[in-house]
Amino acid sequence: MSKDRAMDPYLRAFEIVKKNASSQPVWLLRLREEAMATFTQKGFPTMKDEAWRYTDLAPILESSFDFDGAIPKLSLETLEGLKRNSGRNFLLVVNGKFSREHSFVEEGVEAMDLADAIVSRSDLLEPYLGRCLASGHDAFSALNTGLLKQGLYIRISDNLIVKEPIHIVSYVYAARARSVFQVRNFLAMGKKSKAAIVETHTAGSGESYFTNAVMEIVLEEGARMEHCKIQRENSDAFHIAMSHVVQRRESSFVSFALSTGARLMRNDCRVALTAEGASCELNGLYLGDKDQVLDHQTLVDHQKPDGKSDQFFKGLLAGNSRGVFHGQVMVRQDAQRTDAHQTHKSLLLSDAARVNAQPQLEILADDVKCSHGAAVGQLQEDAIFYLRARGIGEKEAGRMLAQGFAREVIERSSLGFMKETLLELVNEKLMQQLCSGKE
Amino acid sequence: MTDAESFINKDYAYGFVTPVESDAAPRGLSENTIRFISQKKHEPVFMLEWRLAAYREWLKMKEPDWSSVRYPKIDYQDIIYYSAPKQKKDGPQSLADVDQEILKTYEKLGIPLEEQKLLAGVAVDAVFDSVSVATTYKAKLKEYGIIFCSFSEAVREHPELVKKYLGSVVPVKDNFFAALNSAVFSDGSFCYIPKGVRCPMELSTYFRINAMDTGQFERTLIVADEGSFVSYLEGCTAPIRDKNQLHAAVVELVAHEKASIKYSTVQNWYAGDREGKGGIYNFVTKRGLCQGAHSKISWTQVETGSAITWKYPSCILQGDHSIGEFYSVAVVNNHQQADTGTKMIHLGRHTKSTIISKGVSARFGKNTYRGLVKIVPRAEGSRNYTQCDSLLMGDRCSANTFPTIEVNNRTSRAEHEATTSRINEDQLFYCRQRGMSAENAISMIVHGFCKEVFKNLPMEFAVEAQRLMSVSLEGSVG
Repeated sequence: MSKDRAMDPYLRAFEIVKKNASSQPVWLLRLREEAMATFTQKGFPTMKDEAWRYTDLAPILESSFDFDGAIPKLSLETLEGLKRNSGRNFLLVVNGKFSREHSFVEEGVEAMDLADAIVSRSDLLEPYLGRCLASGHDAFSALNTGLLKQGLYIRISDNLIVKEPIHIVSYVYAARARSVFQVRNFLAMGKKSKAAIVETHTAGSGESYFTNAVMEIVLEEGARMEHCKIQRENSDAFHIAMSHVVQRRESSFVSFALSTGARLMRNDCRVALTAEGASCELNGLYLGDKDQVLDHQTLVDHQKPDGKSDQFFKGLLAGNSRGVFHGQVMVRQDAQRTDAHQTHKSLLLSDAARVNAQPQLEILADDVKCSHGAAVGQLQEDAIFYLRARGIGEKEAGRMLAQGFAREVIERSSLGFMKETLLELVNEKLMQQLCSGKE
Repeated sequence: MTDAESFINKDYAYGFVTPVESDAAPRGLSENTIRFISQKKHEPVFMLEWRLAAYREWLKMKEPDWSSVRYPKIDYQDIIYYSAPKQKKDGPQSLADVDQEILKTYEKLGIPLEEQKLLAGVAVDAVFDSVSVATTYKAKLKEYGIIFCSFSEAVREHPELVKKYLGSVVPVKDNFFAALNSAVFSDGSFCYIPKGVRCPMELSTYFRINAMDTGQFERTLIVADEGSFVSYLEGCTAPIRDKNQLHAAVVELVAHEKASIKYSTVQNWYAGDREGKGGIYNFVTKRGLCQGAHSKISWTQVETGSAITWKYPSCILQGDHSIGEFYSVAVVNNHQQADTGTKMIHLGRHTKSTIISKGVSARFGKNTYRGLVKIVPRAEGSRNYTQCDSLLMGDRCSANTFPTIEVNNRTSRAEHEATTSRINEDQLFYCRQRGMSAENAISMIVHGFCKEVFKNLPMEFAVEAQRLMSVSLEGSVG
């Protein structure tokens, strides 16, 4: 199918959005039109685009995905499953739509449908929504903005310390094959507030679908946020996600991305340190098997002095899977005394597994300390031999070593509260990986 | 700041023009220019056809724009593609036949061509503008069966070797500048080391761009046959110019089974003045093919000159157990730009590559390391180690590191490390406290920073490189 024809369903969808736009603020309409213009102009990326060199989007473009407006009824059992470990803060998004009836949050946390927020919180949203993305719009986030209909709006007031983690579960139930879902989250944290967010992407049916998710985060002065994203879409899904974080003075952002699901996934995380003394820590762990393509992109933009950033990513690839990592650190001329580090390590567990890494440093200031490192290797034969000599089976030895490798990211990250859950998920996936490796 | 000023203000020491009558082609590029060049050089028909084919390919190509370097558009019709010093007869047979003016130029440059010949133990194939002027030690090399001559001579004397290897590593269509070079290359060096021969001396060429507005398009081809070894040195300085000059060379290396080639470059072309006016555009394609098992190619480069350096000396590791190495120091000062690095393509099993790159940026300099390490599924048990360090001096310069790593099998390992920082204040303080001037202290620290690369240079070059570094860098920090 040609690239242009692949765009058709989206352009048609935009026509419908425009027709129903009368009730919306003017700024939003303008924003949509700009975004759609970007999308039409850029079109879907191909492998000729430098940024998409290693990720082939053909499967998404070839099968014509279409919007599925249906919101399924969830059974009590499913609901309980999704709520597991949620505690006092649980926000459910089903097929991209915020489900108010099943969600609950503690006092001080404001959560509502983005569509409502656009009307009632227009003044707060206008300067932010879609703005930070505008400069580096890629086709998918442009599309998400252009077709924005619903989503989740969260605002945490100034000085509020949210006691328990806020769980955002994005659940997809595709009633028919080849559905496309848009997920849009907007999160603003007030001055000196603190919160932990756990964002989980999961699915109920086995059909193939395509999730196009955009998350925008604004951290005001001194705000501290811990963010954990767990991507465990079903094995036939396509997951394209963009997280954009804007950080003000002295704010801190710690994130952990665990990716185990989807047939093809791209996780793009862009952090702009727009004021002095902001710091961020990005951690990631991806585990792939079969024909999975797991693509992580990061961009940390140091715009002002005294910023700190640390990135640590690891990948375990089995079967026929492919890992892609593109991590960029940009230090602008004003950003003196920046301290920026990045590490990417991956292990190949099978002969057919592949990895492509592009760590990038762009430094325009001189008083900086920056480094990056990347390594690709395999399980050490000596280590396996050591374990086998002590009576541990080959498979088990491999599992132990791989688990140790994965554990390092989890232990290293500052997200202590998620440790158990993450380890459990990693172990579960590791078992699958090692089985697929033995095919 | 006074020390700094004195160094920054230092004029380009090699900026002089030798008044030699030139025999130049008319300005511009067309099939006729190519025919003119080919005819001037008395080339066989196959060479002319090869050039014309390259020219036709070039016409179809677009100038690349993906790099970090920025320069005003080059008008390819405003370049003189061929310029040769007027020759007295058929060509000089000995030093006595060489134009005295040219010899003086070399003396100023300090090339070991005359009395220094024995002392230096170097055979020099000096390229003065586009034609080889003198080749020393030819007889001695001949005893070993080594062919070391100018490219034009090789085309005439050894057409079978040229036919076999020319364009085998860098195909005509490889890139825009390689295609241009293939069409119009004027001269260069050719070297063939026969089976099992260890070249008894360091081979060396000296390029110098002389006539006004003459693009220099040399072509170097080195073939090391089974079990042979050769160390080749390339060094460059160019006189002062107002207009930018294009330099698009192609270097091809072929190493057969168990052969080893060591290629060292010290590049100190005119870098332009303090405001970035003038200077050489150094757009070079260098590539080595480790064709046989256990072969080895090692690139060492010290890039201190040129307004823009844009090149990636690469290794294709085709033979099993072959080894590729890349050691580089790139220094940018004033408005210089460098976009350099390497590609290591691992095709054979158990191939190994090492990349050590050191970038130093001062004032408005822009330094970029761009590299690719690719290990294909078949290249089991391959290994790569990469280290890229950047040193920044001054708040207007920049340093970028853009490596790409592609590993396609599990038994291979690749490692990459990069750091960027400025000169350590503590180290400076330590040196200053012991009575060293800021200049000396910086010089010492920078030398230390580049040591890993310098130690891979042959003796003659190591000394020159250190001196060049001092000249181009000391005083960049106030």
